[in-house]
Amino acid sequence: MTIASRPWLMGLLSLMGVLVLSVPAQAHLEQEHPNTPIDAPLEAVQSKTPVPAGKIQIQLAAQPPLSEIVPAHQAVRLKLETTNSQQTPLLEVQSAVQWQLTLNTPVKTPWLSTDFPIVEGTTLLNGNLTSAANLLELETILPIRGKYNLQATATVPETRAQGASQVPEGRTTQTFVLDVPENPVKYRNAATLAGMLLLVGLLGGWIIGKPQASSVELSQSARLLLSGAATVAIVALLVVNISAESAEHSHAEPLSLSQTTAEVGSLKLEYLGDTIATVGKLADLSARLIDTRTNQPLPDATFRLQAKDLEHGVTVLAIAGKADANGVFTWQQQFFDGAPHTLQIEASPVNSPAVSLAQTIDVEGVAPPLAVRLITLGYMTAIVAIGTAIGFWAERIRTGSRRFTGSVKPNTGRV
Amino acid sequence: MSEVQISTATQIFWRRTVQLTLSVPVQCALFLSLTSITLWTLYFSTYPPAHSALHETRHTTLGIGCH
Repeated sequence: MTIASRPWLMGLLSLMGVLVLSVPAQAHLEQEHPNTPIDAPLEAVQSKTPVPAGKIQIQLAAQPPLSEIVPAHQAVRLKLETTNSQQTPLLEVQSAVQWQLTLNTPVKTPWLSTDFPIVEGTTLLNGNLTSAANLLELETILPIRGKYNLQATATVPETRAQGASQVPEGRTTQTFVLDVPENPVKYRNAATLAGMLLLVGLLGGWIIGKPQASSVELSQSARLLLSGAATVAIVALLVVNISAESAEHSHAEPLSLSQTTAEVGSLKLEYLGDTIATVGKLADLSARLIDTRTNQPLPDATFRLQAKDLEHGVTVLAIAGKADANGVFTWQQQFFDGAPHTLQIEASPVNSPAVSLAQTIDVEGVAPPLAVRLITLGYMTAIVAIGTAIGFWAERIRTGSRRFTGSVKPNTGRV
Repeated sequence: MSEVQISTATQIFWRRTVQLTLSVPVQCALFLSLTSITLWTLYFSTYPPAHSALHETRHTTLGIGCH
């Protein structure tokens, strides 16, 4: 092999090497997550809506502080409490407080997508439930960065509030903004990737910018062969990726799961919700406790619901509350990870042992929109292109060649 | 058309093809296309082996959406 053909081969091998090495380097960096324990100090979240004087208020606190959580990896405990206008807890309210909660995810960010673009601009949870006292606790995972909107409505029974020294109104609605930062590891990984792509571009530009020795037959043949191989590789990868996209739109049937029931004595706990959920949509997770002797629901039972991602072993939701007037505990939750989840539901009636059941729910993942993926691919390709241009011009300036747009003279076989 | 003329026409066609293939714009286009399609396969493809192998990497790189 002649000397002139070696830079091509060496360059190609280097390119392949950099691309292959970039993947484990990325995988190594992904392991670091600065997790803050969930029992870290509470941090108050300010209400976005002003509350008129004299009305009851809702105080929201997050644990750990929202600025310290890592989206999709770490659960956050949200504590909602009803207070009077002096922000003193309504301790005299010992009976049920009605809550209506809706948590909306941050708006869509197509120009710099999160890792769950389908979740952007949707509702993460929605529920109507009753807390035993004036405090409601909810544990959930916030999957993406950005500003979440929590709309909370609390209704305090007026009969109880009347006995207080300062009688507040019985109902209030407030909106809270939950600002979640991006996972810091992502910035470092993106910077590493950008550096690698620039390096790949520089190397490619340097190879393309090298003045070609037109009299060397092998060099020209080798370059033609490599160009042909590159074309074949492009076509092969296109076929594989287009087939995969087609298969994604007609993917396999979800698991066929039935609704579970559990019986202890004369008590029967029934799961009434969905067994198949889809990322981006709310799933209904209703349950009911009935007395089999009368076939009537027990409205005073307290329900505890816990949802766990079976693929990652992470608890994505924990909530407790009482059923509505019909004896049905209703909760709507969006699952952001397309993996099977298990629901643990425990119903504790007054003066009777608790009944619990486990329900598996299959969550269908949805591929990110093509446009969102193409935008990020555009950024990556632009970095490579910039590197290529710099490498090309630098090589041409170094060798003093003025044929910046020139091509290689083919070997005509003439001596 | 004589054999000599056919041979010359073939040679000219081949020479122009080689010239075009090895021209800087075509080489740049080939290089950027190969890089782009490789990046797509690694970071954005729904092709199961590629998606599974780099699932966590995708979730820890800014700007990359997954499911």
